[in-house]
Amino acid sequence: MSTPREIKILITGPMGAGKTTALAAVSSVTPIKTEANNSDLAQHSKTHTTVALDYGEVELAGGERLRLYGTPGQRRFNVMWQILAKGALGVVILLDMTRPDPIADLKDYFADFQSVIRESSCVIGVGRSQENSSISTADVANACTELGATLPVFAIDVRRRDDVLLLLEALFSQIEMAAFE
Amino acid sequence: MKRLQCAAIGLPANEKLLLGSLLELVALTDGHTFVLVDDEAEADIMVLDPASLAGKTYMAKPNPGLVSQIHYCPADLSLPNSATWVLQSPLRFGSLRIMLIDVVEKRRSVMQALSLTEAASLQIKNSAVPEHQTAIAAHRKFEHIIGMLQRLTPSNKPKLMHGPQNVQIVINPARRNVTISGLEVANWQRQVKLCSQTISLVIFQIPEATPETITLTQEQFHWELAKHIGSLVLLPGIAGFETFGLARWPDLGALGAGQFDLRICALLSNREFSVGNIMRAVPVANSSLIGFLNGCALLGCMRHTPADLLHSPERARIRPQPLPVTLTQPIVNAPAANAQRQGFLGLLGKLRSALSFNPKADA
Repeated sequence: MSTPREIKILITGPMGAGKTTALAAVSSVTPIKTEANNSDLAQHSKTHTTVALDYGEVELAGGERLRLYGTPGQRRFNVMWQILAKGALGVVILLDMTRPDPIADLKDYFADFQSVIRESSCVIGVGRSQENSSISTADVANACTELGATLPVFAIDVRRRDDVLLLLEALFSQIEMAAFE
Repeated sequence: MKRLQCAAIGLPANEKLLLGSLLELVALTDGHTFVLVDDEAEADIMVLDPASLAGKTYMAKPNPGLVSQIHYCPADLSLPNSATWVLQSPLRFGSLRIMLIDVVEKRRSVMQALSLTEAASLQIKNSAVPEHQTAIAAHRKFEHIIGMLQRLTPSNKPKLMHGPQNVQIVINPARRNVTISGLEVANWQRQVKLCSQTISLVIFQIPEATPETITLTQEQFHWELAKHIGSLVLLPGIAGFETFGLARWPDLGALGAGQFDLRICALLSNREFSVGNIMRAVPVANSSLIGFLNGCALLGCMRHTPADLLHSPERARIRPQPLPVTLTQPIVNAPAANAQRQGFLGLLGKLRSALSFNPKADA
């Protein structure tokens, strides 16, 4: 009997971008969280933040599973990033457009997850509260192009399941269409 | 000069080599030349042995074309009246050249017929003028308005435009907003659907009595216009393109996306494809695809490689490689491996089913 297949997808981004919320929006089980009091209030004002990982999953017919991993947002915990990234089918980068320089954040995450992005698929979600930002999704997409990748960049609300599913569907479409290269 | 690409499927290696050599020698008086390529997705003409496994596999695809022994058929499989030619083995220069002349002529006539059909199929509510002439005139009117929108330069002052029958569009380029006054929000979708039937700017012909104002981003406005108005004709800026590719993805999160949009974006983000080959990879109605391409063009997402560069050997060398797929427990080491690919597509199907992705604007 063959081992049930598993797919791993990573959700990453800076603290407060909505990784935990996005994961919870699609997980069919109660997500496992590793939250602690936020001691880095300079970076974000929220009271709790992920320090190791978030985990959720979607069970498929035949025992197969989609495993969703959320990374901690703080760079000081980046030891976890590469561990979680290993074997990922795709990576979702969430950007917080209210941060001082979302494009710089993008470049940082691009560098940190370069191997996953190059070897599998990647999609970028940006918060819909862009009225306060001078940067558009087109600016982010152009920044991706400058980094050497034509990637989907979508304005989303991580609290909305359909929006998060759109990100996942973009990952699946990239994988599917790679066969037509 | 027009260079058509031929792909050989299922031919023995020696016949494939011979075919490649013969194609290099063929130069038609109208300037058409031919080249043998390995990538069937890029081919204008398929040469296949229907008795071979590869030939059978090709014919088993949803749009196999018309084939019998060694076949020549237009790559744009959506074209009506596409035909099949039979070339007897062994290959001979004379018969190949005659056949290619016939193929080119057939392609030309089919293209012309398709062009007229598209123009004529634009439905205009004006029976006094011949239908296709009205369609062309309406399309020009549409271009004019699109041109006005595109010529707007960034400004801090909102721009108010008055058009026929109480048209009011407020555009604020600085905030990337377009405000259409006199439009009931609830009627938006219905009106947009009407547009695709009438090819006139019905969305702007709403009585002023309706109090609500709808505000769209400029991108949303362009996208809706392109996708629902005049979606049977490519806009002039891209009408001459042989192939289409994306410089960047449109923001499908803000625009509303269907699986079809996502798949085409994924396909075109790494390399360029002809309309026929896009439709082969992603089954979609011709009008939906044209609307999608028009939308991408209006949003400035389109990338274009001039025809002379498109066929250059230098470009062939810099084609991006397909993305390998990695899994926690590898089930697909090379997506191109057919059996594994089918298994993987099945898994994606299960994922989609389990997640219940609900496209907002599928074709």
